[in-house]
Amino acid sequence: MRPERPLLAVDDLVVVYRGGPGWLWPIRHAPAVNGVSFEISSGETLALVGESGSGKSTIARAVEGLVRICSGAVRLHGENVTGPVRGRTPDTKRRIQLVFQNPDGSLNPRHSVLTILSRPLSIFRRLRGAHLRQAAIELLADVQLDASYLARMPAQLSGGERQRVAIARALAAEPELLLCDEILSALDVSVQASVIALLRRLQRERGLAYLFISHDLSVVRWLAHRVAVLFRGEICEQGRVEDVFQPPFHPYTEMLLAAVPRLDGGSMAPPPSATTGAGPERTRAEGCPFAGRCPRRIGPICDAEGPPFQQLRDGHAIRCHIPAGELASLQTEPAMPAAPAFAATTSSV
Amino acid sequence: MLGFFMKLSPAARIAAVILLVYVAVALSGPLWAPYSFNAVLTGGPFEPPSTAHLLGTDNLGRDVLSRVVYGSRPVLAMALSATGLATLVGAALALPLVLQGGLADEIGMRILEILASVPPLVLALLLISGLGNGNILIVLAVAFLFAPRIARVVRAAAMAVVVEDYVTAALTRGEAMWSIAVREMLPNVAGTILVEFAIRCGFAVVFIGALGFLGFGAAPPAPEWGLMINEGRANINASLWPVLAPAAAMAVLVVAINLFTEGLARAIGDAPGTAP
Amino acid sequence: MNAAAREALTVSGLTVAYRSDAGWLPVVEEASFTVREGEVLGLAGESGCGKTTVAYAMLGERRPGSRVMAGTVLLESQDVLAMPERDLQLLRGARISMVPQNPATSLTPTMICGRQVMEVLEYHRIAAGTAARRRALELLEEVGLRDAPGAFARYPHQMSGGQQQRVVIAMALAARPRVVVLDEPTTGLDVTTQWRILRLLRQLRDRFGTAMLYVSHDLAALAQICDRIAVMYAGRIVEVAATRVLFAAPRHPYTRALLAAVPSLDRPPEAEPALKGSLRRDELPPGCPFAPRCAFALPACAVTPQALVAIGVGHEAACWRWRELDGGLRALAHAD
Repeated sequence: MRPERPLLAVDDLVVVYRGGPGWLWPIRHAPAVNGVSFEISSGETLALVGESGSGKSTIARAVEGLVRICSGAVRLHGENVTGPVRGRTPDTKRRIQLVFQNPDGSLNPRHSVLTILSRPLSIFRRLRGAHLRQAAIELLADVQLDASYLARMPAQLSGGERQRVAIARALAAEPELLLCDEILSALDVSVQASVIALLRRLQRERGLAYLFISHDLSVVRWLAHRVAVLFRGEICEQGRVEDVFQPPFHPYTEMLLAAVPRLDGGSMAPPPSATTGAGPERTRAEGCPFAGRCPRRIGPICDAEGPPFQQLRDGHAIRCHIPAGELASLQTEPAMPAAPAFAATTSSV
Repeated sequence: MLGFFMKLSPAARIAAVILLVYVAVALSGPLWAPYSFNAVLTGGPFEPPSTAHLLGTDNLGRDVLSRVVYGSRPVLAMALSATGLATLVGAALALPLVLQGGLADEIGMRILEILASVPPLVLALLLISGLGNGNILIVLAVAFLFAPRIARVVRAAAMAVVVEDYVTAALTRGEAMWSIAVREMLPNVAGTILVEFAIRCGFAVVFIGALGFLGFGAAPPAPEWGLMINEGRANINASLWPVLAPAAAMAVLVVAINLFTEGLARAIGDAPGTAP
Repeated sequence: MNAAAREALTVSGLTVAYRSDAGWLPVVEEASFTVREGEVLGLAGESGCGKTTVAYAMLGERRPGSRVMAGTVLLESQDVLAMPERDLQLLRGARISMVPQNPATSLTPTMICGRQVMEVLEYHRIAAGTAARRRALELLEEVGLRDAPGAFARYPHQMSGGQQQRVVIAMALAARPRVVVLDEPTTGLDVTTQWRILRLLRQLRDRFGTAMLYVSHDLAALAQICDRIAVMYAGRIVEVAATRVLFAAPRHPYTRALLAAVPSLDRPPEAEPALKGSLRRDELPPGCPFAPRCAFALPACAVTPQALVAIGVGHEAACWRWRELDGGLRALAHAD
């Protein structure tokens, strides 16, 4: 079903940030990304989900060549493009474009929309003058803004309009892969909905692939084709979205899903032990990264051994010591307490 | 332009008018100054103010008003060109260093800091006594002194800009260093640079005056304010005017520059950039 | 709790304006609501709707460049808006307190957390010295910090965002205020952390009967904690109802569209977003502010001012077509 050569293949990626008082004495931190592998095909959306600090953004920046990669490879159409963005060919730069989380910071406040769009158009498509202006108008039309926006400054745009311009700037390069780093989280829900509709349309019309980074599982559920769940820089579950969002879950996925608030009253109550607060993440370096917080911990093996990737159907993989069948039966039985009825039932109506 | 003027505080508006008057006097002075700056014995020495000599005459009987008017030309020209040069060099050093980051930035900034930590007057006197004087050399010396200080200020502002996503976006497009520095960063640090330029102009006026006073600047009979104060100082018992006039001209100029700078910094502070 | 519970906070006719080039521009118009003891009232709306301005007005605080044009904020029959600043300083933290969005900026970075809780107790003369220390430890335990003595001695930067927010909540509750205003208290926190903070707030409300005004753009979070919700649009409250009623049977077209836009795990998003365009405050019509974006608007809507009218028990909406729309919308729903 999947093509021979994926658009993007990330293989055993490791990123370690260096920091500290100065360049002469760098401090090595724990890896921000540790042994992450995934593939994205043309026209496909892979979502990276996880809590803050799980390494989602770092992965996008590594794919874009903005952070130093310690080991592992990034391949575009099978060609190794690992390494800083400066060393990449213009064509590689064109194919991968990044859209940022915060639309306020991603547009130069001193540049008009026309100037903002004209840079990629002249660099990647060598357009000038009237042709460039025409292309800029077409780009704005692609993101449902009219030509009157060309002369506007970012301060004159709403948050949603800014994010549309940022998407238009990325589209100007005619990319194959868009890296979307939490691009909805600064937007209101109504604006989110329109940007999501835009992303879907662009994918349908141009076969764009997205690496969609988000903490919002409700958005990911309906936008992504496949999902990778990250915990502390490691993938703990990966697969098609319909497989990941139903049992068997990795215990961490289960916990994340349980905590998603629902409009109809409550969220499902997370398993009791998951609610006691953030514990030590990993009890021992060689064990499971989630062992310290895991509500379904089975014993010393969780601390002692890195869990295996259990391969299920259609590329669904769960990295856990508990056999998938057992997880499924644990998670489907109605043992979970019902959500406490606290909201409307206690109201004074 | 007028809109910007209206955004200034009242004090800064008055200062701006005063600065315009100085520039106008410097440009048009030779057309209407009553005497030449070095016409000797247009009256007797040490004459008090009169209709013939509004600010009296000095020890050689030269008209003080004319000399002060002529003296505005070198001081403005030198202060502006020295500060302008220093700002250009400072910004041209700071922006690429910030963009490059890492070790180059670290080493570059340390060197600039060492240069900036040497007492300026001592360094200027060393430079000028070693290389000889002359207006061009003074301009170069002052620019050399100011450039590292300006570079540090520009760097601080640029550090806040370089982390912005639009700079990252330019980087991922593969834009050249100079293009990122000029297109993306410069417009966002221009306000800081402008304010710094204005502050340094005030310093430069005083500094150039001090060099003249100490005899390291223009040579007599040049109508240079610092030099005039020094010459008048010897005969201060005979007449106060040859000292008072250039000193007041310099003081008013510096105060006006400072007030204008303060207003400028405030007006730029709430310039457009973010929506309310 | 019941309908007879006393009103802790009564806001009527609150109108706040901001200075603009064109004079005073109202950002909150004629906002009226009450919060009863032990009740959590949600204030929902999108960015720029004026909800944060309302939140700050509850503490008698004006945001820079803003002015209260009319209205009263009664905290136990005392008008907060008419109080001099000196009285307000004693009031804030003691009888009404605030939990702001970003805990990192509301804690002092150079002071250990326990000390900051103690300062609240000492400022309001609740306890001093060792008594204050003991009380601060109790408060840190109350907000669910597992290692209270450890948390007491830590600096804010040594804590996670969720732990910092717990400390801020401990400070807000230190003087047992009658009313706590929460401004987006879980925005920016991870879902699991948000879940825990919401549970904590519910427990504290049940235990101490504190009235809460919970301001957020996140309707799903509001659904977790609020007894009633008021929806704001362009500075006006357009609908108020009990949480369950609001989500099951919203009457105002804006509430409907907003709810439809909330992403959900259980239902796919609508292909065509329900809310089109964006709020433009400079182009508001004299009538209903939502008319330009409303799918059901008649030409008359743009020129006919709308006020909240009672349409059910405790349910009010500011749309004169609510009756027609109810049927119309049902018909639409059946047609799908």
